[in-house]
Amino acid sequence: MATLVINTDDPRRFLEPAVLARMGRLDLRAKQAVEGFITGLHTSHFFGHSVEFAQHREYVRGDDLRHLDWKVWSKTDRFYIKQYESETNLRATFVVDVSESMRYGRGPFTKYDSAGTIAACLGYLSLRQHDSAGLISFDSSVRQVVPARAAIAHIDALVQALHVSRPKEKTDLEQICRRVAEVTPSRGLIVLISDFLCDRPPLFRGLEMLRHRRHDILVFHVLDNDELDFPFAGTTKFEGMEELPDLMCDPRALRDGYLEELQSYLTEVRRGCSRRGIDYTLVRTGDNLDSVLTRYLNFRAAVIKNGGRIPVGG
Amino acid sequence: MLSLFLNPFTMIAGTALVLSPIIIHLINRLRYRRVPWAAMEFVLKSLKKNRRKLILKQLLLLILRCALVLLIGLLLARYIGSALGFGQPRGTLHVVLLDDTASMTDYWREDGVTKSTFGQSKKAIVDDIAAGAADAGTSQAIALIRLTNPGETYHVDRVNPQSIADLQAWLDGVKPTALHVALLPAIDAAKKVFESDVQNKRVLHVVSDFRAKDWSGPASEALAKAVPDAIDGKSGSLHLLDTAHPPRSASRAAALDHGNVGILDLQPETRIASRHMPVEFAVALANFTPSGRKNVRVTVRVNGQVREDASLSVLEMPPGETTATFIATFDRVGVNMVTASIEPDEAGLMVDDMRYAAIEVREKVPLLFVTAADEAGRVKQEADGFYLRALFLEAAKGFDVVERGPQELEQTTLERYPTIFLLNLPRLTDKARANVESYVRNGGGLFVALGDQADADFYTRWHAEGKGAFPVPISKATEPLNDAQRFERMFDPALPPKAYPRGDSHPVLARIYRDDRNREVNTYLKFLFVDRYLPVPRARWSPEPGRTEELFTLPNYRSIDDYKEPAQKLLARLPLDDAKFAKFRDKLRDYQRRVRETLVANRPLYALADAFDALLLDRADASQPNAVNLQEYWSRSDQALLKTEVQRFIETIRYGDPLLVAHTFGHGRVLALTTSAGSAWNDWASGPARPYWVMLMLESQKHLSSVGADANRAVGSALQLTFDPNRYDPRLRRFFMPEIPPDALPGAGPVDQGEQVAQPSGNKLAYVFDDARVPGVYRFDLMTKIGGEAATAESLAYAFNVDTAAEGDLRRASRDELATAAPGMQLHAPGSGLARILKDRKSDLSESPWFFLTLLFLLIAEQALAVHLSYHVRGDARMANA
Repeated sequence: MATLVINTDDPRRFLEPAVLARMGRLDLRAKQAVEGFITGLHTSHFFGHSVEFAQHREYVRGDDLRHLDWKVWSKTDRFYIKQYESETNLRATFVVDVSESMRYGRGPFTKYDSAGTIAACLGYLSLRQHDSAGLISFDSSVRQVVPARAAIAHIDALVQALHVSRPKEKTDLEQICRRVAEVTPSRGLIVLISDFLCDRPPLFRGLEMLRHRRHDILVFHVLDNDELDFPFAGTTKFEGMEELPDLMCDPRALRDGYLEELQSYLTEVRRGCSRRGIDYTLVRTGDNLDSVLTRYLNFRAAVIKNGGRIPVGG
Repeated sequence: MLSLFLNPFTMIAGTALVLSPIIIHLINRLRYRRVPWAAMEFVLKSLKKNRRKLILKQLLLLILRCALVLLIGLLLARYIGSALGFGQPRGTLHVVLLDDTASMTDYWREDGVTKSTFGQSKKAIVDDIAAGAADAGTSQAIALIRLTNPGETYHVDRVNPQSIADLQAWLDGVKPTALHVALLPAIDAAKKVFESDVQNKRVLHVVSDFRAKDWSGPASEALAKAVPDAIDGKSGSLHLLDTAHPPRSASRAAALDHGNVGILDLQPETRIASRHMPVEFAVALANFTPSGRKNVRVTVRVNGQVREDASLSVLEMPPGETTATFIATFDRVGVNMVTASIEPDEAGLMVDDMRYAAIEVREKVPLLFVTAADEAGRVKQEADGFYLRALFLEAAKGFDVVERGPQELEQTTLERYPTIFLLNLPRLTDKARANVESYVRNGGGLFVALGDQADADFYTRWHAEGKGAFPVPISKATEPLNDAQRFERMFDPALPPKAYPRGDSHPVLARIYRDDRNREVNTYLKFLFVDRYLPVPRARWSPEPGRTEELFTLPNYRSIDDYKEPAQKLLARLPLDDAKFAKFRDKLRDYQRRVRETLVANRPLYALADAFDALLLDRADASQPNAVNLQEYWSRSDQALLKTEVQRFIETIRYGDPLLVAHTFGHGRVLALTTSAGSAWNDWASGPARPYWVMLMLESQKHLSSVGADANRAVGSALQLTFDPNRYDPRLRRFFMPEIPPDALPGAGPVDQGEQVAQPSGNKLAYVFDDARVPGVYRFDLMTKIGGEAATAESLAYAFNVDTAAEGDLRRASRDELATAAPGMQLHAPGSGLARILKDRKSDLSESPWFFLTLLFLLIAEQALAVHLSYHVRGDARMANA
């Protein structure tokens, strides 16, 4: 992976051109029909409604055959898809954890950087597809709410909100989920990006609540390489973030126990999401971010093709 | 404590370094890294779960690392202690046994420089042993013991350049001695030195020439026990440093030596001679080389002056012992020193090339005749001393016969007589007997002739079953012969000998027969007539071989009837019917017939003995080569038993009672004649056999007055003089009489060694002289008491010589013989690497494979534990966690 030079003062740093260029060839599809007043490519309860034609796009595998422009095919013998302005009525809300624990990171990205990048990329993608995208940042409480809009210029508001939200204080996900449910009364896509270093019961209760509102939920579990590998050597004083106690120890001796506990935690989170029909993806801060997102979007396409069932372990 | 290490300061540093893992741990605790951490939940859970196990593992790792540092510290500091089962004593005690006996004076010339084995030994002690020990590093001590003085030890408590210089200076003053001593006392002394210092490792060095005489044969068995005992078995080590020349070849088991020729013995025939009396000296030369020598010149000196008339050349000197004689006369009254010397060789021993003898010369040699007869009776022809007195006073010149009664024997002045004749004494008082025994024990000569007065019981008691001075037990005297018997014996036409000489090797008979190979002088014995004597009960007499010898035996005069039956039995055992011996049958039958004829004819026993003799000694006629030879028959092994029995039977029937018996008692000699010395019981002195008697008596006197065992006093041996306190003053003066060189200044003479004082011992005075370390003649001037005033009266002189028999043979023990005598020894030559061995001698932990195994085990354990407790990224670990 090429080393990225991050300008921390530039709010557009989350829009990496290389990442977004690759993502642009894919469509973000809602798994379920979303209520909305604009019909698009997405499966809609209001099937047949159309808006103004925008452009043709070459067919790629996985596109719905209903939208093939058969006239173009008859003239050119090539498959093109007709695209329309305001094709979808998907409302995507990016819920980004900006708490203190997200500030950890020894590589080019902190967890917060990764979370922000993911949110911005997906937001931009949504806006380009004329979906509406909103953002909620939180720590101990909701810090900022950017309502969902479909204008492409809305990306600046999203990015600005991410930039402004300096991570601090402790995460309380049950409360956050309740608040998200309140501010997104209509059914839509909730993209939750966090490290989930919190108590699991409140987390699952919050997610349960969102599912109950019939939201389609994507979970990006962002963890730093250090947190996953625990590569520390030598006497180290771990200073607990988010009001946890400090500990001086030889980390090499604790590593096996740490990794064991971590694995059981990850398994618990993954199973909790799977059980509730929530997409779960573990993201390393050191990993290639676009490949993670691409893998996710491919997975989404498979889900749509599969009739809306989320594969186990997805 | 520091002596436990070859590099003690490294160990000090190592001890400090043992703490390094703990210090590093503490430093790490201070220099920790701060990491803000969100996932504390898992860290805390891991800590809670692994806390106890973690502490134990960390502690174990710390201990392992400390132990590793400690072991490496021990290794670098070269620990030589006994802990951890690597058992090595701390320092080393070298006990050096320096051979300073006479053989170490072996000299040779090399590059124009004369060297000696002893000089090489001293050099080797400094260059090989001390220098090697000095480089060893641990505490090294040396104890040096000389073989001739094992009670004195030179100690070097710590070997360093200064102490080596001191040792060198001390060795410069040490000279080889002329002594011969055994090795065992020195080994015992070494053992005591080792036992006084149990802490140190034992290393025994023997610096010697390792002659076969000392290190092989019977001596090796005792050494093989004593040497390992001294060094405490295998825990110590033994180095034999052979300094003799030429150096031993590593490839050859045997070693070459300088062939040596020396004088074994120089002995005058008498220790007291009269002026101008020719005295015969026997000089025994020893050739210890495997080849013969020719024309060896023996130079004789008397009181330092060369006597060309006495000096002689030995034309042939084969390997072994060669004896030559010379005659010297003396014109100076007093102690005369006689030396015989041979020319020294180019290499070998010089100390045994000269030998000393002392002879006391008087105007007349006094002989004491003790008889029971009164003064008037002594001059009668029948008197026991009549013929003896005539012999010594008239026939042989230079003697002075002193005739005294038995009471003279109670005086303690007997030592002035070289020979005492006890003539027909009934018995001796207890005091006289003790005096006479003391006199003989100290080297006196005693001639006892019996007779009609002799009390058989007394003489038997004096014999004391071989413990007394008298050589035989005796029975009552035989009865006088009747006329018929007398006639028969005197006029037997066969003329059998009337006395048989036995033991031709005895000095008395050897000198008589020396120039008479055909024994023609024995003819006189055919005309001897012995009427009466005191028979010896042979059943009660068991002469000790080498100490008591029968010189003359009377014929067996018993009746032939007493022996007919055993004779017939022997004849019957001849294998006349055995086919195997068919060729001897006729001859055997012929001899059997002759013997039987002798038996039937009732001939005297000597005839029977002669008949059996003829059977045994039959030889074929030289003119008839094919004639049967009975020697062939008797040489058969299956006839050996019969031959032995026939020989024994011949002895039984031929020999009757002893006539003259020789005996040694202490340093002195005794001759016992079982008949009278005069003509009362025999006609030996007065009859036709008189010429034999004259020779026998003169030789007997020489034998009795000869120096005997005294002549071979070796330097270093103790001499005890006892004398009468009533007659002599306890103070005496001692003089050493060295060889006076011809160019000595006038006046050069005996060296006065000062006044000595004798100590009372019972009712006598005793003076012990054990300080004769230089060969030569030592003279003791006794002071007689005359009216309370002391005046010089008598001189006693004794020669002390090198023990050539023990020290002259320079042949060296082979490597195998040394390995037998000293199991586990390491044999070295000077400069052949002993110093390097001693330098490397120190065993530390680096020599122990167990140490390295332990170290390796700890290293593996430490690494395993460290890996177990540390974080290592595996290639697939990240993907697995993703």
